[in-house]
Amino acid sequence: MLQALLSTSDDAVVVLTADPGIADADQGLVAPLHEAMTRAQGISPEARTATFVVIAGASPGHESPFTAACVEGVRGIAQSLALEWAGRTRVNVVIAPTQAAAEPTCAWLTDQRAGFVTGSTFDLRVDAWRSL
Amino acid sequence: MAILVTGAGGGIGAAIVSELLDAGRDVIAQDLRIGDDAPGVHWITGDLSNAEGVAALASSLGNESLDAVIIAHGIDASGAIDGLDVTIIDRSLRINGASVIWLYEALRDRLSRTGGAFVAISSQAGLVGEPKLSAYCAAKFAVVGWAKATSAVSRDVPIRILCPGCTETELLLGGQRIRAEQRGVTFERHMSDLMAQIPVGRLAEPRQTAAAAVYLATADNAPTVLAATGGQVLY
Repeated sequence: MLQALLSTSDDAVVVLTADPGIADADQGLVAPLHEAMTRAQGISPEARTATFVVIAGASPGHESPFTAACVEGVRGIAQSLALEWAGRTRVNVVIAPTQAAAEPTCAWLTDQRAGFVTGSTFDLRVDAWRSL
Repeated sequence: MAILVTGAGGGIGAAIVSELLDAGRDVIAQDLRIGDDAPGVHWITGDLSNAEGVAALASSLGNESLDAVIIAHGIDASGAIDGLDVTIIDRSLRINGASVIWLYEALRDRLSRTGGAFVAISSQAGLVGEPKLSAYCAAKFAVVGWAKATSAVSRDVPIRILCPGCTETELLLGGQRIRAEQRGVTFERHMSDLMAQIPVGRLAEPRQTAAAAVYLATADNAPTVLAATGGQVLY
């Protein structure tokens, strides 16, 4: 749903899920971050924005170590690319418990009013859980 | 008992071994190849790029308890993402990232018996992103995230992460040579530009970064994350 709404030639969205049930480094760290990197390599140089969405269930500070590793690893990729693609593509991270909770922020990030926002992390988990 | 140092043949690893020997500690030094022999050092070799290699390292230690573990191995993974080979991505995620977790899981029982600390060297690029370094940042950020979350729920083994800034090692200088080429400037010009970004105006000496790692490994109370960056990244 999120992909269909926002993955256009102008605005790329990469959705990843940090599965709290995983307890090994191959599946909890290597696999999701490898996927994030290879999906980033597929983003068009013409894209105005690239948003990495990480679906992570628990609140910050209460997540599993592998969820934390995945979330932080994606932040590392996004911060690096925000500098690498500065002036070309704005790169940000949205962390949310569900895709639905992430959608409004992802949409806002594509707006020109967010044109100065790059390399930022939007961790929506605390507010999203509060509103449930 | 001894302190295990992985990547002991590298610039920072060798300095850590030297620092530990100066402090009168016995060292189990690990790397791909045996390094300089010295009294108090026992070398073991092995590949830590997969869980099987880490298990083999743990097995080679027998039943020995450890005073501490210092993870100092790592690889360069610099390069623009558009041309970055998937093999480099995979190797960085495994060697710079997952191997830290594999080692913790394989060695935590030996450390819990002694109260010893598990220290891993991340990077200032594990706290703040750097351009053309995404595969490295992915792994180094992940290690910091894992350590903070694990420390919050597990108290039997202290986990401490050192995030050093630019340390004058062959690994760093090699990466900077690549970056100078990418920028189309001389290596000297590139290093001058790099130095201008570091508030203290110089690179860290390997022994300074080593001293920070040894502090984390031996102090009774120490932070989970220590940034030693010459002021370049504040944490």
